[in-house]
Amino acid sequence: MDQQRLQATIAAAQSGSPEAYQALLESYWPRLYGYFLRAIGHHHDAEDLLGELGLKLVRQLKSYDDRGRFDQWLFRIAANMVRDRFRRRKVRPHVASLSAGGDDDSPMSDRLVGNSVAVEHGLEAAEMSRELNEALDRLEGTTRQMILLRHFGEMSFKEIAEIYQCPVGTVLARVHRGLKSLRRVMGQKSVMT
Amino acid sequence: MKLTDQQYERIAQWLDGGDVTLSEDEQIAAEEIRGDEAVLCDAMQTAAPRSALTRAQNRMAAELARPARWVVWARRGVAAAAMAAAAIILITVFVHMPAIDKPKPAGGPSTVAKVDIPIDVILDEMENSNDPTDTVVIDLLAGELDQLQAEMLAVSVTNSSNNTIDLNLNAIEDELEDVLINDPATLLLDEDTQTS
Repeated sequence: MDQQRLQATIAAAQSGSPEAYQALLESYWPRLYGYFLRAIGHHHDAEDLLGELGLKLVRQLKSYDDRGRFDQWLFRIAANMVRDRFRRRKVRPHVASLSAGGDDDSPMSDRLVGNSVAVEHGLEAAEMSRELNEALDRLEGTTRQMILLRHFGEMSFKEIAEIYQCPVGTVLARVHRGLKSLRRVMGQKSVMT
Repeated sequence: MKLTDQQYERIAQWLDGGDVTLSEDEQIAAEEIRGDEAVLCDAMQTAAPRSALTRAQNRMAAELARPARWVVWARRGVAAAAMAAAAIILITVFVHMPAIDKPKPAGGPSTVAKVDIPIDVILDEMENSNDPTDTVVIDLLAGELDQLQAEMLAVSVTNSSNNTIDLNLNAIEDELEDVLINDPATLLLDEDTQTS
């Protein structure tokens, strides 16, 4: 959605147009879903968070004031939701075994991203996705969120620094270390082709 | 290669598109970070099920269809205020309700409250009443009053005539006394007359 059309859609949504709200969510939902999925590691939670974000969009859009980028504003809300979800959980679920049963009695392998990707992108991509999930799971929470916001939120280091109230150099340092760790866990062969 | 905070600061500005000149080490680090991010971009791809969007949009539509929260709270406030006002009115009515007269027995005359009200006032009220039983009572009372008035009149007349006779007798006695006192011979002569 180009900038002009985006502003018109936002204005219509702020006036109460249901179609405008639907259009906004449809424009960003793949990135939002991907962010939630990589941050939480579970399809159902990602879907639930996406629904909750839709509700927050309805309740909070009037507070958006066009000063910053809209997708940055949206992903700030998403980042807070993920942080709150982790606080409630207190611990991120470990991807310990692909055959271990989950809380819904389905094997964990069925709930990993790789399994749903396998249908569409082949086994190699599924394996890479699975390794990535394991590697992300090993990162420190804030570093993981910074890398995900950088990718899915398409945020600059400066914007991420504003969210986490820290220097820009600190954000880059953490992202740099996180990327090295991902490379190390996933293997030079898988990540760096 | 270990970078300082200031070097990371410049590299971050450069990666964000800022106009910054990097040193050789900083340039190497910047290229490495950019390369890792590009590779990660491919690995991060996820298949987002359309059903997730549909469910999210349904929840959004339901939220939009709800009335505004302030409207909900305003309605609750108005309802609560109306109930409170109704309760206050009912309590006030029950507290200040006047004493109710005892119900009339069937076919009987109406009872009159025991108060010191002159009989004339009562009769005037009853005359103005539209109740047919009140009319019967009025007639009875009127009849009794007439009778009483006639008796009182008779008594008063009798009393008044008796009073007149008494007054005459008293006057005669007074005159007799005067005579006797003033002319005692008249009395002796009569006694002599009677004895012969």
